[in-house]
Amino acid sequence: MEHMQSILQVERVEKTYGGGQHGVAALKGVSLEVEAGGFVALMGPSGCGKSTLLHLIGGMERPTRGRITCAGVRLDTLNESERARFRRKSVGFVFQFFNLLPTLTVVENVALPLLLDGVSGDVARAQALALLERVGLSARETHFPAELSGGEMQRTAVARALAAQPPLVLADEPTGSLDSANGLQVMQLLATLNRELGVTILLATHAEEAARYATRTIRLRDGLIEDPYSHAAAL
Amino acid sequence: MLPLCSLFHQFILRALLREKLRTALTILGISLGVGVVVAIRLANSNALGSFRAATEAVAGETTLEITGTAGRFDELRLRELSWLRDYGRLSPVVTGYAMTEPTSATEKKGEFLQILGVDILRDRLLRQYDLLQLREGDREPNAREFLLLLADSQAVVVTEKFARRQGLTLGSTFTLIISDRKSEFVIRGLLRDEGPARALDGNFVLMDLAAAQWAFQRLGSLDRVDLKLAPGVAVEVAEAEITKRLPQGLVIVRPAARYSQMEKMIAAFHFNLNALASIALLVGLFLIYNTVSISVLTRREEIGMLRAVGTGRGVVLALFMGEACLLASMGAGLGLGLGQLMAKAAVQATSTTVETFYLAVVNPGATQPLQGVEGAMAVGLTLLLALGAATRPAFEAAQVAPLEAIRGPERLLKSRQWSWRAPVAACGLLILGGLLSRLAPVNGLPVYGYSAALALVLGGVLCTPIILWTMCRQGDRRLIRLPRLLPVERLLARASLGAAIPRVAISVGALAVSLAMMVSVSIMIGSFRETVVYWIEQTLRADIYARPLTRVTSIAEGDIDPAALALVAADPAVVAIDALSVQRVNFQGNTISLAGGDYAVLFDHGRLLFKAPQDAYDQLRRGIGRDVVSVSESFALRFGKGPGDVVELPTPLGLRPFEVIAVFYDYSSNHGVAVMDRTTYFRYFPAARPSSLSIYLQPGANPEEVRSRLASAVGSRYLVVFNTNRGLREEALRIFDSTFAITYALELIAIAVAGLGVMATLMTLILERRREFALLSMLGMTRGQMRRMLMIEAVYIGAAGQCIGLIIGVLLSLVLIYVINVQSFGWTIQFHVPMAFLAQSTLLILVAAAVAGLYPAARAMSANAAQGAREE
Amino acid sequence: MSGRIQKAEGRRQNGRKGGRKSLAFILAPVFCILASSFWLLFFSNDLVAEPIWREATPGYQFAFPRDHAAHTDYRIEWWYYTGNLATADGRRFGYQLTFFRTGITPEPSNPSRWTVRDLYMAHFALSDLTNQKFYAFEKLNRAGVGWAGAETNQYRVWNEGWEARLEGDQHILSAAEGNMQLALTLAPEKVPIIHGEHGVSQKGAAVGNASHYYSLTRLRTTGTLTINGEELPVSGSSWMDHEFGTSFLEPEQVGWDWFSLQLNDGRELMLFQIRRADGSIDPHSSGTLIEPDGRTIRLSQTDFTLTPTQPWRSPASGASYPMTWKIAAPAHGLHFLVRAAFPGQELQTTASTGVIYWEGSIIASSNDAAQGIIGRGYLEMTGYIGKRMGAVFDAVTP
Repeated sequence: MEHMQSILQVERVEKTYGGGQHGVAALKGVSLEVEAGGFVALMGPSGCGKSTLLHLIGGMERPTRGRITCAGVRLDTLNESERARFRRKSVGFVFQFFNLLPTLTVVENVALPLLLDGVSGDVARAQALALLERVGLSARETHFPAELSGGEMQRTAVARALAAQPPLVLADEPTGSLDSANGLQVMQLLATLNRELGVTILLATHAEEAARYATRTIRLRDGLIEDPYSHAAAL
Repeated sequence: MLPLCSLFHQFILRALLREKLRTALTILGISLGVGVVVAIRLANSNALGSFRAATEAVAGETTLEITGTAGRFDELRLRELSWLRDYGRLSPVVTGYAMTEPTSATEKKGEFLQILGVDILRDRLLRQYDLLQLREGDREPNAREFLLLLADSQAVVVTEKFARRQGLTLGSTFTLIISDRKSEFVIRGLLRDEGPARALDGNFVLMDLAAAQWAFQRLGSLDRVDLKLAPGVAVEVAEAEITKRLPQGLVIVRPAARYSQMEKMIAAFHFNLNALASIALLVGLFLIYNTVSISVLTRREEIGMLRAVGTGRGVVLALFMGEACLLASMGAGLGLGLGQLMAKAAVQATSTTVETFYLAVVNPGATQPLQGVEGAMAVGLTLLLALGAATRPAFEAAQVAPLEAIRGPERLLKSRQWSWRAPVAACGLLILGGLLSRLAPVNGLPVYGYSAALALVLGGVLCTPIILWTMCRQGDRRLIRLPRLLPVERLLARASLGAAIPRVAISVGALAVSLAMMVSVSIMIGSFRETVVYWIEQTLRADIYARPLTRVTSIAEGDIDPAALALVAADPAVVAIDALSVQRVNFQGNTISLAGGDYAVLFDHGRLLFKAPQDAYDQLRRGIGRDVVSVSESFALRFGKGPGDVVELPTPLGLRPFEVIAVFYDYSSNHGVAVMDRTTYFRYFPAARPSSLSIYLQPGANPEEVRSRLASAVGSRYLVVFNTNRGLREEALRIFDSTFAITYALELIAIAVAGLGVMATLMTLILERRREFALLSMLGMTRGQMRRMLMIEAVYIGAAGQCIGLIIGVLLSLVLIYVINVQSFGWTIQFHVPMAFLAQSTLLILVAAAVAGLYPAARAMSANAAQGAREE
Repeated sequence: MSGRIQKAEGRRQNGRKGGRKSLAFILAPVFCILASSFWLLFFSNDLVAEPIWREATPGYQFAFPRDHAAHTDYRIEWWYYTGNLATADGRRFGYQLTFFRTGITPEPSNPSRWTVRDLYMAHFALSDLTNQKFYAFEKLNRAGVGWAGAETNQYRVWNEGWEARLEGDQHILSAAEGNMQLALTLAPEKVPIIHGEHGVSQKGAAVGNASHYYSLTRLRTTGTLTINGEELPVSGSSWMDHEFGTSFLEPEQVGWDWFSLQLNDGRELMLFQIRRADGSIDPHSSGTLIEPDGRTIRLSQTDFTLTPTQPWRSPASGASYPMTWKIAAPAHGLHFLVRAAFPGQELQTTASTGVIYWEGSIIASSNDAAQGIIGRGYLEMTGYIGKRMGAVFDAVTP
């Protein structure tokens, strides 16, 4: 462990939606660990619990049981506003449906996490522009999301995910809505960023082509990690 | 039909139920609008209706009335009228008002009663008096018996209702105040609720003619002679013939003329109230439009799906029209009840005005309940208007193509583009408004004035999107030049509001309309108040004013006994007295006041503000002793007379020409007043008594001391109220303020309705933005930030409304002051903007808007981030 | 028209001799107040003014023409004209024109002209004997601005447009109602006949229950009648009664029958009988026989008999009146029949008193048919319908 700094530790996490007998168990005791700077793919069929795990790691929800430590923060004990601050600082999100604010321009969308964090407008803008340049969208800064292609939107989303310079980016099926060319482009972008900026990426996907960019793959099925080997390794 | 019903149930009803709060807000808004209209209608019809009912009840079977050109006339003139008997039955009448003794010290006035003094021998042929019999088998007294009941001068017959209210019974002695005297009367009989007894909710007293003359101190004069035409005589023929034969100084009128005269006078006031009340309804209709529009806008995909599975356009149209109908009928139904409840308050709120300016006595009784037919009409009308309001969005819904079911975010893109049609139409309307405001009134009603106001308001509404757009996208689109305060919240608020302009524009427009009305009315009232304050300061120069107790308003009856006047004059501190006599007369079908004052005292001590000519005082001085008058501004405007014109004024000697030599400002009445010097006045009205006194004191005298001295000197014998200059000013402003209280109340209701609309809109927007909130939450937006963002949106909406409201309001106030007021009331009002009030109200509105944003914000927060994300 | 109908019952006085016909008219208003209705009971004390009215007492000295004029010290006064007239071509008419004054408040405190010191009533009736048509009108007024009145310094009494006044010694009568008019000049042919003794006609046992009462029993009459717009010059003979006093009748009196007859032989006869509740004839019934020279013979109740026959039932009111009377005063050689000129001369005074009575022209003829008509006159019959006169005031009011 000491040779490799761990950025994320998930320990025996369970998540059950709904209460009582009819509760649906999405995660039934998942443990894993991701090293800083890693690029981990989380694979599995629909409904296997990938998204739920991502949400828990992103601090959007609390586990029913178990412990999550991300970037040195114990997520399971945070309250709502602490988790909001955590999300703002420590994770970036990229989702299948782009999740841009349609009412903001591209640059505003990218700058949003910074602004939410109280960074001044000029600074935020400068950083956002730099990121846009990196994702190749400088020319689109004043466009609205609706004026972009799917690939451009997802690249904008990637830029936004990086805006606050989080140590961890969570990507949930980022290529799910893209054609293969654009999908490829986005995956390459993620890989580049992982490599060049050292940002850790946790990618949930069911596409093997996407998973190929990862340095490690974890498979989930029915709320459990499928590969006993990697399970054991994680422990 | 059945599928439509079940579709309506599933598609509309369920949605409405799901959105309980928004539905409730809409219904509440409409019901407030309907309620206000109904309440004002009831209040108006109460005032007029009670007068009409009283007029009709008291008129009985009178077909024609003979009266003096200037009202009361010498009874000996009846001797010239013996030929009138050939036309039918005659009954001479002395009538007037008396007041019950105020029961407590705090009460300023008692109840007013109408006294009818008649010769019952003759009068029973014209009017029906239903004397209550206390015992089984007792019979109606015949004419002679009835006469003997009333024979002595203390005898009165009152209504059972009044007696019960006052705890009196047959044989009771009670006190009435007439002018400045108290008199004791004995109840000789009780009237059932029939005929004249129905007047004024039973506040009716029957006296013998002689007793009434004595009580009113009007020996030798009659108010009129009522004539019931013999069967078979045509009214028109008789009227024409009698008119021809009547000697100078007497005229013939139909009883209904008094009512229609009153109706004419009060019409403008009622029209204005109705117009103000309608704003709430108008705003309510905006609400319907808004609700249906939003329902269409937010459900385009669903509509598309419906269409995709084969639902016809007609059905979609029917669904949304049905929604409007449902909301409107529920709102209207609730509004009727609300209106009945509010009617009482409205009657109270308007009664001061009505009593001050129009009817000396307003029926104190309960308001008439709404008639079933009227209620049905109100609901029907509301439905119709609601359908009209819903037409556009419903048609829009019908136009939704099946494909749209699968086209998501495109609508956002579309909505950002707005056409130039709205601003062009807005400009057109504003110009139209300007033009309309220049047109003359119709039948004394400022119809075009209100049309102009409506045009301005609609123009303002059409400006709403532009204003909103400007606020949200000020200048640079690529901005990240963020405001210092709450940068990100404001950025987001502006962005989402900017995107939602088509949806919020309507409710913001409605808000703007009501705010514009508020602004305009407050400017108008503020200006008016300033003007009146100035006028009072300039013209109320006497140190003490005196009036008989019953003369509670300038149009109430009552005069001061010459002996009381002598007592006042005897006070050593009194330097001069201007005793003003006032006679209300019929001039060209309108009631005006003919007044006689002492010009000499006016020149030395008093002051009038003249509108024209420049040298009014010199003119007045030269005019003393001649047949000249100065007239009030409203007289000049109403009858189109100015200095140099000759008016034929009614006097007891018939119509006499008087030259108008000056026009003065007068805000105490809008009836029109013509004033002459007492030398001239007493030539025509030799028996006139002063209705009020302006008393000037020696320099250095303490008005308060003199006032109490006069009150104790005179007060024991005569019921004269003395008021110091200061007291009168306060009183005048109190009346002024209470007159306009209802105006503010109506405005506030309109604003409340608009506020409900804004809230409903915000709620909808929030539902629509669930995903956005989830995303923001994911991006680390805290609850506080989100709450602030939504409140800022609400404040923006309030600000936009107030911004338009201020602009349109100022324009409207110009129309109100220079067009509607002048046409309705004939007053010059100096334009004056009550800055403090406007600043205050603006602040209030912004704060209120922010508060209104709280609830939707709380609702928004309940949607949590993951749920939003999962919806992906 | 109605004048005398009502027989009021005495209010507080126990007068016993029934007053004449006309009295009742006057009394009616006063008594009715006291009568039945509850509220009258309540208030009568206030309404019936303190008796400051002057009572008719013995010793009154009549003087003419002064006593034609009004006597406003007394509560009740009337002037009563009846007559039989004919046109040159023989059309016959009867007329009645009566003015009543009833004092209400002798000294009113309210100076208004409209104060009701007196009430003025007038009845005007025309009988068209030839066509058997009857026309009747009434008026009820306070003085007011001179709509009705009776002057005290000279003889003039009027009610709206109806008037009687003295010009020289001639009585000028005028009355008009629509297209029915009367304009007559009456010249007395005999001196005034003063009824009763010592200037009073005693009506009851108590002092003061009496009246001052005189008649002009034969007035040569000329003038014009207008019947339905047709102007007819007429001449004939009239009778005038003038009576004033303050208190009168008593309650048991049901009604009365009053006759005034001008006989062709130059005599006149006035008779009245008062019918009492028990069916008897009141002892105060009486009469006066006036000789051609103006001498009078007083007839007491026992001096004459009046026998009614031939009842006629009024279709309007249902009352049944005798249309023929047999009159006998054996001591004075009087035996004759009196019959109504025609039956339909009933009045219903709805506007003023509500009393229903019959008053009309009559013809006197000898029992011996050969002698034919021996005179003409007027008859008044009251109390034939409804309750006694006292209660009669219950009748319809407008």
